[in-house]
Amino acid sequence: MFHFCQELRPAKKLGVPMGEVVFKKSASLIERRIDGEAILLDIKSGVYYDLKDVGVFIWEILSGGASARQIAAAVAESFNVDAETALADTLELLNDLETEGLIVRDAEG
Amino acid sequence: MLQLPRHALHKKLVGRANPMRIQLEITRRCNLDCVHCIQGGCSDVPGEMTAADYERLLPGMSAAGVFSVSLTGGEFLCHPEIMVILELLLRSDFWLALQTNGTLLDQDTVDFLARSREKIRAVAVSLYGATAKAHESVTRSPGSFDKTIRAIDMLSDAGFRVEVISLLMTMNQEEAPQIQELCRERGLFHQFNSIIAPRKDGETSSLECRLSEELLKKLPRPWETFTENFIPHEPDDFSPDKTLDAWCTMARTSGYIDSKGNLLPCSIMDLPAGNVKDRPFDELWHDSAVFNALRKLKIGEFECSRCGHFPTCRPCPGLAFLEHGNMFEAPKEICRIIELFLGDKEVNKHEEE
Repeated sequence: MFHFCQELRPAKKLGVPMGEVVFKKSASLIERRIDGEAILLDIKSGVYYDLKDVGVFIWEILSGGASARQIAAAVAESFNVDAETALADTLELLNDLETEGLIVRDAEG
Repeated sequence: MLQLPRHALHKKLVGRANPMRIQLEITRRCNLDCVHCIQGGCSDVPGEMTAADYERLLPGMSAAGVFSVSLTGGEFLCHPEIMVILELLLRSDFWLALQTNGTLLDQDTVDFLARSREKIRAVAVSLYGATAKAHESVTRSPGSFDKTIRAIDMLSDAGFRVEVISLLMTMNQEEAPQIQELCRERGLFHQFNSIIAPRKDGETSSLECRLSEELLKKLPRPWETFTENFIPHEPDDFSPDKTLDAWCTMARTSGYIDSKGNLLPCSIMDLPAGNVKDRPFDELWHDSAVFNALRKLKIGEFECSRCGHFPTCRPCPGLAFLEHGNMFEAPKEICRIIELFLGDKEVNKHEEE
């Protein structure tokens, strides 16, 4: 079932469809891999975050900057899910990550 | 939910003995001669870690899971290669904190640090008085007060979070309110305590500076805020059959590397896991017999567990180690202070029925 995340900020300003917006990791993060999980510390806020499973997989892809569509394609292939579900879940996670300030939109992407 | 609350993070990492925070004793040299210093003051220490040693150490600490690094000493700015070491740390991916007397900070150094200010959580500066007379009666170094105040102001102006730490003893306790006012005027975080411990080499002359019960009672009570910073816990976490996970982070999520490279459970306990110049940090941390033994200790083995004030008082096994050479005994100086503020409580709460 396609899930549309209504909390995403529209990308109209960039004239780029949401799925094509390139995201990159925030520069204020310290990250560590512990028991397969990604533990992140945002030094701006002192808050820790935890990513597991698919979240870690997506986080790795974001190392080089990536769009939701690129990430979703990798998720679909690696986790054997259909493209729509992968995109919906990816958009949801990216929204959460952006809301928390863990990723930012790459203006050059 | 992505956020990881502190208590959840602590449980996750303590169970794995993941080293989150490491203090680096960059040097034992110090340009001051503070009466209470447990290091005892040193002008030179053979076998000190060099910048090259730190260059080898830091990536291993990062790979082992360390998030935060605090620089301490002595006075860390006394290390002959300190600018190279600071450069290494500022290029690393750690969240840093600095502990300094401030007297060796100049504007160039502050500007250098300010270029990476976002990586430095806070700078803790030791201040022992609101006047030169009180401050220098502790540091025994004429001119140190003005230099420390100047450093505090330079750091504040550069946008650093400055935390002023004051140890109160007989020669400066009268100025406790003035120190607080000085910090309030500058908008600075201020923390004080009055726990004076024996020197690491066993010398005890500093204990004469401890405050009497009468003087202690005049101080603002710190314990309410003291306990606020502790990680939330479950009541069962302090049962006699539990390990020290909820009580003390030594060799669990925190550790200390002294100026010679010895990996210790904390800044006070001289129980080395080994030396980081000889073996990788991660290997020492996880494979050390000493550290693994510490991780298996049970709360019931400690005298403190049988006291009605425990665990509210959060006694420090390290202080007990300094006082008695035995971490299992209660640190009596903390007991003396706690009983003043919390009152006598029934002891022997874990008496066998």
